[in-house]
Amino acid sequence: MLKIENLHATVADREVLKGVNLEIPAGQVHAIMGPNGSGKSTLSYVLAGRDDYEITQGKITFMGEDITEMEPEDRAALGLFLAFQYPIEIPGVTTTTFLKTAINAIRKKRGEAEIDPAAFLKLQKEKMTQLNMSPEMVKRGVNVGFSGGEKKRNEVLQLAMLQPKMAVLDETDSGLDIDALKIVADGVNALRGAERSFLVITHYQRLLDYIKPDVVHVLANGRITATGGPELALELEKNGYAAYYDEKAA
Amino acid sequence: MSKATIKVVETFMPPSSPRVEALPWLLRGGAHAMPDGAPNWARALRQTAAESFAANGLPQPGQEGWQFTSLRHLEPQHYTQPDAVLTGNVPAPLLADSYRVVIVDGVWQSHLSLLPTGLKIAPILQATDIVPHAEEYLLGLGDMAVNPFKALNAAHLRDGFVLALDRGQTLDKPLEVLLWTRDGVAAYPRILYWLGENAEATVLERCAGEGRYFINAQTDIVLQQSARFTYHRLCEEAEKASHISQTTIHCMKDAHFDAYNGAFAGALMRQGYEFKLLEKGVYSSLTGIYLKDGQQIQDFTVLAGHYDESGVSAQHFKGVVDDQARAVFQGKIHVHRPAQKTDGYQSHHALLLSDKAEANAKPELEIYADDVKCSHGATAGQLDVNALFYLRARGIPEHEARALLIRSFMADGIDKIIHPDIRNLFFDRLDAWLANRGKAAA
Repeated sequence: MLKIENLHATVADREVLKGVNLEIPAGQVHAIMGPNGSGKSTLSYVLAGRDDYEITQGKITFMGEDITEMEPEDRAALGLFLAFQYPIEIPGVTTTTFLKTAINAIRKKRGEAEIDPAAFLKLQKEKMTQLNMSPEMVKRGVNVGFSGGEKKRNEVLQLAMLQPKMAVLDETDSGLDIDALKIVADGVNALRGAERSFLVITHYQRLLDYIKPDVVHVLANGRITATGGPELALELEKNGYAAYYDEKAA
Repeated sequence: MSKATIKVVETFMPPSSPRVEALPWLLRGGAHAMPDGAPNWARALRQTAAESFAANGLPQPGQEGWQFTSLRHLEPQHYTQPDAVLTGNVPAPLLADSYRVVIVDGVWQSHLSLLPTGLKIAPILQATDIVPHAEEYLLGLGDMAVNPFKALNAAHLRDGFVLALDRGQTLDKPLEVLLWTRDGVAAYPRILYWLGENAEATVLERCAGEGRYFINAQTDIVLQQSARFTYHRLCEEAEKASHISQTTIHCMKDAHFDAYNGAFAGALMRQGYEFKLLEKGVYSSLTGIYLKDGQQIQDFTVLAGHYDESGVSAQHFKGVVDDQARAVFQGKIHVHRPAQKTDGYQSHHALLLSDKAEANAKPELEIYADDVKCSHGATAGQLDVNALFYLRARGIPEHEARALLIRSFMADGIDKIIHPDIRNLFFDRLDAWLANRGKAAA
């Protein structure tokens, strides 16, 4: 479903990704772990198409299309979703408006009719109940006045509403207490299926207790330096990342 | 030269050293010499004002208070239409349930009014009949030299209206005032709202028109003790219009005043506000909202004068500037010595959508009392790239994402409007502007 080949990317003229290779088949959950500054968030932004991150080499293929140069909104329409590490506050635009606009924009791009407003509200209510969100939250400006945990829940709400084919979760666990973490993980797990893949980016193993990955990668110094099963995450938790820096792997 | 013009020249005696460029503004249609049975105070005012304007002319480039706003496109030869008799229709009211006053080319059309019985309203020249000492406010032109547009308006004093509410009287519906100006006209409406003790009213003034015209509106609002006035202005002038206005609010003890000024389109708009918090315990607020593009100029110049204790003045301005448009905000809070416990605040936030868009903010404080709370803030910035990416990553196309963010930026200003129908009118203007922008981008 997603294939990353020899991806090099620079941020403000500094090379952060130095040849990432990664392939995620449909239905799988992959985790990327890595120390601070290893390029995890850069990878997530590059995948989503942020334009201040420059791809200098390599290729990203998603759903059989080369998306390396594609606009963020077109990637979203193809079914790619990024749950932000730091969700943005947008005063004056309610989450309901935001979500409806996003859903209809994606539908339009796919040549589909707009969503029925009643069906939209019903779906939103259902998903919010699952995520234990108060109905008030979608009537407020997007993420305005939300706690860290509420913002993350709101990301998962968007994920549940937009039903992408592939979701990249960028440190979705950061800033969550254990109860919120469970709710968020349950929300994600409910979306797992044979046709949907996940790339879970995290610093800690804890999240992977709740969202069980099929494959775990270590990203260090801009490259994938190790790949393994869920046991790799446990080992990292125990021994740290020191053994996986590029020098050793290379 | 027409006969009428010659007649005016005969009667009007310019000062010994007039500015020649000022004279065309006075020599045509100037009311200062009109044989219209005006009361003596009005005739005297016209004469004084005409002399003042002739001596000073329009504000010069670089003149104090006018450094940021160029008047070079404001030329008298564009405004040659006589004050014609009203033919054709004027736009329908915006509010479904309101009272109505219509002014066309600066002239009050009393036959188009819809007013409650018993309401005191009169042409401006009869102001003294319904408001005691009305001429005090109408003559309050001490700063004619500083603001020549006051003088120019007074020199043409002939029409407009005065509305007076008696003590305790409440206008049970909003009053919608249409100021409609037609192509080629220079309009000089003069308006006085006078609210007696505990009186209460809500007004929506809509300024609009067609073609290339110039409207110079001078308004005074007098609030007696504990009067409450909510004043909305929806200025959506024609593309080639120039709008210069000055509104002075005279507030007595415990008066409460809220204003919401929307400025849309128009080639040049200079909107001046002067607050006079003359007695204790006055509350006053002004929310300014503007959307400007092309080469439009928007200028808000505000003076909040605190003359007595415990007064509040709060002004918030928010605007979007696109293309090569320019925005100017000049705000001053002047706290006089007796005005202890003053609470004054001014802010101006501009969103610049293009590299050539410009916003100039000049907030000032002048404080002579020692126990006051005054602050101001001004920002000019671009759309947040993080927010833009966030929206696009959710599938919202760039132009639509920009529109959402602009709306988001403006919404908290418009949301301050309490009257739901009027608030919606402002949002409609914002949405129309955004839709238009979207079409241009597509």
